[in-house]
Amino acid sequence: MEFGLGEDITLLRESVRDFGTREIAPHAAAWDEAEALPPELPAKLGELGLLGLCVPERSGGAELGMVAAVSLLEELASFDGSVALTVASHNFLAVGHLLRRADPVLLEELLPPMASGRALGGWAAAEPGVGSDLAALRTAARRDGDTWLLDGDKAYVLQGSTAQHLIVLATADASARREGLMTFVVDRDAPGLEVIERVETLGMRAADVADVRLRSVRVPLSRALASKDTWADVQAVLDDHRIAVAAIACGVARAAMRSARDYALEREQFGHPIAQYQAIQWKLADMATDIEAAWLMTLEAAWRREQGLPCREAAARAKLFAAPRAVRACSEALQIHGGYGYTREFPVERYLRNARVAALIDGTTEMQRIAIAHGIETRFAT
Amino acid sequence: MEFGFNEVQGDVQQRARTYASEVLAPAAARLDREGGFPHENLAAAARAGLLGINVPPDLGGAGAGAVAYSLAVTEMAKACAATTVAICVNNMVAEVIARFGTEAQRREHVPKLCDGTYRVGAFALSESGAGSDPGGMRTRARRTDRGWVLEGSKLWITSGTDAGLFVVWARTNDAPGARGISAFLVPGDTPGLVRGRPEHKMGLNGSTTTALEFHGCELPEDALLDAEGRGFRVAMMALDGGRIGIASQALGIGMAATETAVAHAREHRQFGRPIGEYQAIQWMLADSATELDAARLLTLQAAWRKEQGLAFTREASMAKVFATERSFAACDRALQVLGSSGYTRRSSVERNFRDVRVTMIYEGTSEVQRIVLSREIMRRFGEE
Repeated sequence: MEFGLGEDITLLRESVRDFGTREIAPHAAAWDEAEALPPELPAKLGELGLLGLCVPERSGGAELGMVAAVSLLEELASFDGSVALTVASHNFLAVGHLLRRADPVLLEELLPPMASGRALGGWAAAEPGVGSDLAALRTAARRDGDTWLLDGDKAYVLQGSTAQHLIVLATADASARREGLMTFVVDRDAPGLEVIERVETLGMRAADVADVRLRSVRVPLSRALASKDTWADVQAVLDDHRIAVAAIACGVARAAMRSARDYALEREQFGHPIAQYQAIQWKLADMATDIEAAWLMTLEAAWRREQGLPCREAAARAKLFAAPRAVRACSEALQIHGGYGYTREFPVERYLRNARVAALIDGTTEMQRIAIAHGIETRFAT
Repeated sequence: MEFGFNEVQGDVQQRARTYASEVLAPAAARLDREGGFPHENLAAAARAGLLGINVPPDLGGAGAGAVAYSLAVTEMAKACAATTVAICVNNMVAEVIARFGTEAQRREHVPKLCDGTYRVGAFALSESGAGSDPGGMRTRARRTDRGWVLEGSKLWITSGTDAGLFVVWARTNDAPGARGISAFLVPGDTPGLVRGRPEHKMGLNGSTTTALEFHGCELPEDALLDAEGRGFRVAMMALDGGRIGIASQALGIGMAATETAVAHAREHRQFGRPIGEYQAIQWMLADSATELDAARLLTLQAAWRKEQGLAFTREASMAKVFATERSFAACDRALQVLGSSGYTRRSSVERNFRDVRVTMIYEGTSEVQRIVLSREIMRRFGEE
């Protein structure tokens, strides 16, 4: 047992904290309002190593383990959820899928620009009507000579309108369900790829979420990822991203908790700072405990992933626990701020909106419970 | 970062598991029904080396550390929470004397706590007017030319019927609040020490809880533990460490109930299918498994910090409030999964439910943990 993060990770976190304090905190509210991140941000994130977290150094990445990666994401999320979600989905959905299955030639082409921030990645899996049951997706892949032709609509694609490379899930045989799935790399300038619309969301507004359409998009054979089991790839990619989303939930909740604590120490009612009333103390004690527990579960899942141990159930548990607890912590933080918390003068309303997505993305809270219920069979059957 | 156990931790956990399944489990239901002090269980715990897990080997302990202690407590509590609380207190008494005692006190008492000579050790802190706030303590120790004379009474003494050694807190001067309080080592056969009758409790029937009275108990000079007026410091160390023990205990009870519920959900059929195939049941089990996992990590983190010599007051309080409340919720869900049979004494879940309830009260109520936590949060949050 060793619960310390160690010096290396602590130093990296400090560099993210410096960056967040200088480059993110002053602008986060404006980015949320504008519903977009500034175009120069990816290059800055890339310079810090945040866009190639687990990419090998020789390809321009930071070559970090999962524990270090989620530690940085948590820190980043404490400054802005949208930035953290962009970084997480780029790293663990798009780049993560490539690292698993792309051949060396493709990796050599794609990784350096993606790690540096010159090219963002997106991951297009869900469709209108297809969410938790991904094996039912309908985007069709048809072989046409020495290319593939892709046709279909994709929903809620992160970096959908800005990504240079979209990792697209499609089916070569819809009746085969899981066995029919394939993965393709579709470039932004591919004819037939169009953005239907930017999706306006409750929170994480500065992140780029879009619905996209593929109309007879031609993909060369070299951009079809070779895999014997695309379904297993997708599950593994989602495991990683769930751990990352749990880390984001922790970071957002920690920011909300910090605001609430500072406000409670400052705000006076009936002659005392409200922090002296047990009504407020109770909330803060429970929020801090939940956040600590969520963070430990996230770290354990990341550690298991890094050790090569099975981590599916641990990832599901971390997200199942972290997401609703983060929402509750943010809501209580808003409550502690009273009416002010409901205004955009304070960041807590944004924290609450941002945290809410964690209970939906990569499988809803309900889907996590199903995964865990299956896992319990083995864990408690001793 | 390392979530795996080392060899010593694994060994202690395994030893506790064997002890729990061979000694505790077969007797747990009977002990609950009949009540009384579990003499045989304690003797067997001494033989298994479970009475001084985090106590140095040269004093007769296992020297295995606070993480191993937590793991062992959870394993034992799965089988018999009542015996486990007596064992927990014994471990903490041994730790406290090993930490604060003089060399002579350590040599005199700690080996006897570890090998079962004292049967079991006990703490005597609470009084009718002093529970969470020791400032209201009225038991007094008066200095004489031969040592001390103890006068007063105590309440809620775990193992009060049978303990061979008590750590007793008493006021030694009138300084306000906790400053006038000192700790004393009081052997169970001290003349003037009167043990009360066991309380009738909701649960933990296999552990005794009594009042104690001290009618002019004469104690030698060297009965004083740590310096005069330092009793509160001793109590805080005992309580912080004790909270890790109780969090571990609650976790074990919650896990036992959940295991029973999972087995039941797999076998019990309704509408043609095992009820575990319905999401209504899956939801309850998934939430219990997840929350108990969070409780496990909070508890082990607190134990690890203690072992490393880091500040752990905040983490121990988090572990205790979370593990006890979530384990109670897990026992309640387990009872619901079992339906009517969970409400009867045919099922161990009925006992789990009664046993776990006290963990939200003793060693500092949930409310006291939240007071401790909010104080710690106001001091620092999220900067580390």
